[in-house]
Amino acid sequence: MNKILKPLLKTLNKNEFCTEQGIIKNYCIDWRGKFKGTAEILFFPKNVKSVVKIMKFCFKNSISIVPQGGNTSLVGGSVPRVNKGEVIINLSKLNKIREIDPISNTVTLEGGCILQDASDKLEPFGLEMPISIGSKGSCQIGGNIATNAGGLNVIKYGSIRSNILGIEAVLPNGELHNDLKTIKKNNTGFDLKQLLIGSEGTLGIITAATLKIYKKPSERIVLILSTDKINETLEAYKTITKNFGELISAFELMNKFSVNLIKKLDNKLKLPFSGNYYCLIELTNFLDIKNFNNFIIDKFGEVSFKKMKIIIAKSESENKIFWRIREEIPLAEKLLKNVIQHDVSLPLNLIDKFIEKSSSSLKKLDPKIFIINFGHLGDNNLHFNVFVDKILDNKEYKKIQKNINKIVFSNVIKYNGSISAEHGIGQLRRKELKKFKSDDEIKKMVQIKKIFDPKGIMNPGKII
Amino acid sequence: MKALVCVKRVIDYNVKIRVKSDKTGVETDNVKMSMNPFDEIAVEEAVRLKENGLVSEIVILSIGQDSSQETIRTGLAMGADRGILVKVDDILLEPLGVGKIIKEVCEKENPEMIIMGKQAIDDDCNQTGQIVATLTNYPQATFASELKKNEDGTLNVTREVDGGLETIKVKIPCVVTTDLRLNEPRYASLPNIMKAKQKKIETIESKDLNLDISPRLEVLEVNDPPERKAGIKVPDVSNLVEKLKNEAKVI
Repeated sequence: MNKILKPLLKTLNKNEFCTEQGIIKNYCIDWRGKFKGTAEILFFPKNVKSVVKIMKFCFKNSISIVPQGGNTSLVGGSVPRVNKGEVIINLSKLNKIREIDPISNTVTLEGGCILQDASDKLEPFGLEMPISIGSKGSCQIGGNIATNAGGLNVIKYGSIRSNILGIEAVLPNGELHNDLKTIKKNNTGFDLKQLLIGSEGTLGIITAATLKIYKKPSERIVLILSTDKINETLEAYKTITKNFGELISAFELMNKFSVNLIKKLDNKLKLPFSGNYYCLIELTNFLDIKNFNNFIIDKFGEVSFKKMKIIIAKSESENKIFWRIREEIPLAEKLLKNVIQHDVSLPLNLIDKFIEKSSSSLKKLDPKIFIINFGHLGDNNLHFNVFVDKILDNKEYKKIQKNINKIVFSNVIKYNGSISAEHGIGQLRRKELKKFKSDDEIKKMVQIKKIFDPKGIMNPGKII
Repeated sequence: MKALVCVKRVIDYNVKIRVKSDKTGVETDNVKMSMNPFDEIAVEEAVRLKENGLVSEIVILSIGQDSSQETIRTGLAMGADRGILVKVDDILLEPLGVGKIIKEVCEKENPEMIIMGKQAIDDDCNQTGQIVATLTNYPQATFASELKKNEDGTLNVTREVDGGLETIKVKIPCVVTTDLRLNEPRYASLPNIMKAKQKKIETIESKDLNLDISPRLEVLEVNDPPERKAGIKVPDVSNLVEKLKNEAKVI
């Protein structure tokens, strides 16, 4: 392979690629450590020209490409498969902020820009990014767009899809698709960038994008609500959304088991709860209301919140403690073996039934099963992860995984939800996708893929 | 034992401070304000003493504008009984002025313990407790990390001093200032916040106290700290050692 690549490598800068397998192997394993693949070479293009060069060469020689951002995919979307002769294009060196426009409130960033770095750069302007996700310190904008990443800000600013004004991408044949616009209205036929958003790297590589940015609100107040039953949580959700409407910037659910896991990471952390379900609710002062704290408390006095068990943060320090509890669940969960994850979406009015039905069926399957349930209730998105508290060999794991997935996904379909809310399909959910979508939908997806990628070299083995 | 807890409304600890463009002070418009964290520890300690039957009443005192009521309410939601707001408008208060006002309130309230944070995180003065002790002629126990009431009514206070801990015994009435490790303040629950709304806050106009609280200091200029220089990358370990030895002079 290196022989074939030689003419390409000559034209690249020396630090734009790496051929050492000792280093490459670190880029071939996914964040959860469940997908381990192999790659022939690892590219680190420093500019768009180099991306074009690499893509043109690979197209000509029919070499399969795995685009990679911060490699934080939870579905094995950003790592190569085993011994398929794939190469990785890692975007981390293509990380410039091209333009911050505080008048039209837009930012143009390169694909490898780390989300947190972008947020930090906007901070002095009093502006913020439309997305915030748990992996913000490592994930990259290109990957965020390619996976239509959800996260904590969807309730506040909408999905990433609704915040993208323009995209620059290199298509599989090496052609540069440039549609970097900062305008908000643009009805000119099919909107091709919408296909690239959420394509998981199967249609091209996003090298830059223009996103809407927002005035950073001056303050927020975080509350923790605890309930014993999930249907009480939904009742509280109704009352709170009715009364606080547009001030709500997050409405996150956590079950008792997932919160207790955090003690494994930090046993000094003071958990402010009692009950089986907790919600983290963030109210943001978008309207610059004077004495926001009093305003919120007065509102709680107006309506009948009497029965609700709520704790209200007294300071930004407490806001941060409450958020830490929510954000550290995935890290605490990572310490456990045998966790089978599901990132599902359900109609809000059926979430309680889904949780009750799935939980009782799973307990029947094995009493050593525990549910780690958290997620973005405000976006109808549940992380319904199943922990099997047993030592399992590979065969036993596969068997129980199959049975668990069957229970969870059959309930998702029964209650008209989605098998992947925000994590995407990648390698993990490929088989289930076929059951979940109609034959016609799959056929059209394959046809679209062929238009962009006739040779099937872009991130093969992902989605379809 | 009656406790008077003095609390200050300050810019929240987590807010990035911005200096005003004319360098006369820092921006406070549209900035999140909270109770000074050390004062929050003082409130918590008083509430714990009350829960253990050692304190009979907790009065929260704050000096400032109307907005300081919100800070008093926070203390009431944590478990204090009532509040006093001494209203001061358009004047930059210094610890001496604050001390004089607290002394005046003490004469009216006769608390047996005056407890407050060791310092406020905005001006970092660390003077008010000491000044109050001087003006009232009460003993002082500063930087408290542990508080115990003895049977004879005196208090044993453990203080965090350089290189260790010192335990002193003070008679009441006394002034206590709290350090970080004294306790961890509780969260405020909605029912307690609602109860706090019903509790009384008395407002006193500072000018009615006839005190000279005018500033003794003149602020010449407020500046940002110097910007931190970016780090550098060294090619290898020997280079790093060389730089640590000759440039940084740390090894």
